[in-house]
Amino acid sequence: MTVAHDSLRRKTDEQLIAEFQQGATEAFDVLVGRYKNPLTNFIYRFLGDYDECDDIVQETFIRVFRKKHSYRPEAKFSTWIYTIASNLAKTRLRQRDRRGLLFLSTLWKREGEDVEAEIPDTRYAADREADGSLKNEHIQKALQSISWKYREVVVLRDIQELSYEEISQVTGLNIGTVKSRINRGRTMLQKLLKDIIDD
Amino acid sequence: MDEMIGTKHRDDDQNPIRRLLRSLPQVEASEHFEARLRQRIAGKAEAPKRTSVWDGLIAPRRIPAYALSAAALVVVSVVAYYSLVSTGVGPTEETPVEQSVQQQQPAHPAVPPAVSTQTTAKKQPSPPGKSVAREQRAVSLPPGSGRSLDEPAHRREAEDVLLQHGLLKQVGQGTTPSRSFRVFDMPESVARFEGAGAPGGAEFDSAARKDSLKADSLRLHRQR
Repeated sequence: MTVAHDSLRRKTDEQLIAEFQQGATEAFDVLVGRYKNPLTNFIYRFLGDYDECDDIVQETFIRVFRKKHSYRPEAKFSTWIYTIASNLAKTRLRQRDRRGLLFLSTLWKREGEDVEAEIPDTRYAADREADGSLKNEHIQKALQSISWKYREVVVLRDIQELSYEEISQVTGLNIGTVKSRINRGRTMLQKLLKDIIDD
Repeated sequence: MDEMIGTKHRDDDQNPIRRLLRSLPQVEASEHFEARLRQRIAGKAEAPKRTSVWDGLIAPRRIPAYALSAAALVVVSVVAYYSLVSTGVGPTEETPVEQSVQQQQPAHPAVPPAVSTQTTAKKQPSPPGKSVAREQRAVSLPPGSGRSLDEPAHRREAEDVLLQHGLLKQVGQGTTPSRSFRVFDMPESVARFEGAGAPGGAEFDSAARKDSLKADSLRLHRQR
């Protein structure tokens, strides 16, 4: 069992997914172990909500499990799985926008009544545990305040450290657009995080 | 080229935002992530698809909602139209007929000389209270029967009723090839026009006759 797992661990992502396509579920377990943290980090920085992030990463692996045959070996596995996760996150953001509109409409309806304000999710304490917890919170808030179009590429480039080509494949944008969005996103963040950068 | 890429990467690394973002702590997956994932995968695999017989019939997935609503609208309008037609309730028919009945039946029917022209009259406003008898029409009938085959049944019944009530007077014999009637509700002015053979009289005569027959059939229907 462990010998088999060790041999699997030495394999590349593409070899693992090929084995999984042939029915080896252990290969899937290795892929989950390899990608659960990077994907969680990406989605958390993209969405800013840990519960939603956890749900989306799980959904991503479920998609990989169920649609394993739709993977083509021409593409990198990492790009494929990031694309799935990114699309799910964007869908969630759109749903959130719609819910936001609904929330506004309920505010309109309940004019004059006491309505509870939306409380930000503070259950995840990883940032607080770190030394510069306030600083990290500030950076996360700044990330959330820019448009998701810029946030996505900035997170993929500066946090996940994907190459421009990989980001281009994940987002479906051409490399020029990716670069310009990264630059614009960074400029926006620079303005928002001016105090931290100056320190 | 490699030098350029290297320079670009160094620029990237020196970017303060990049350095700031890279300094953020890595967020890790929750505890029991894999166990929950296995449960979800097993749950999704085991969960039967909710399929009903009605799913395909009522709302086939490939038909969009607007097409369904358009089809429903067409069905409703067709049903409404046919139900209106079958009940005979037309939005423009009943009220004018009743009005014409009231106009055509004065309280004291006069007995002026009959005008024997068949279909000549012009629509004119009649002076109130003045009416003259009018020979309405002569219907060709087959010898012996006294009735025309193409004559609608309800019209014949209406004529009979009018005859019984004295509102219509039979001029010819039932066995003769033609039956002529007099209706004692003809406004004098119209009769004058009939006599003069005014242009457009045929239209008026036909319209008036239709109205009269409709009114009669309505009355007969109410009596029943």
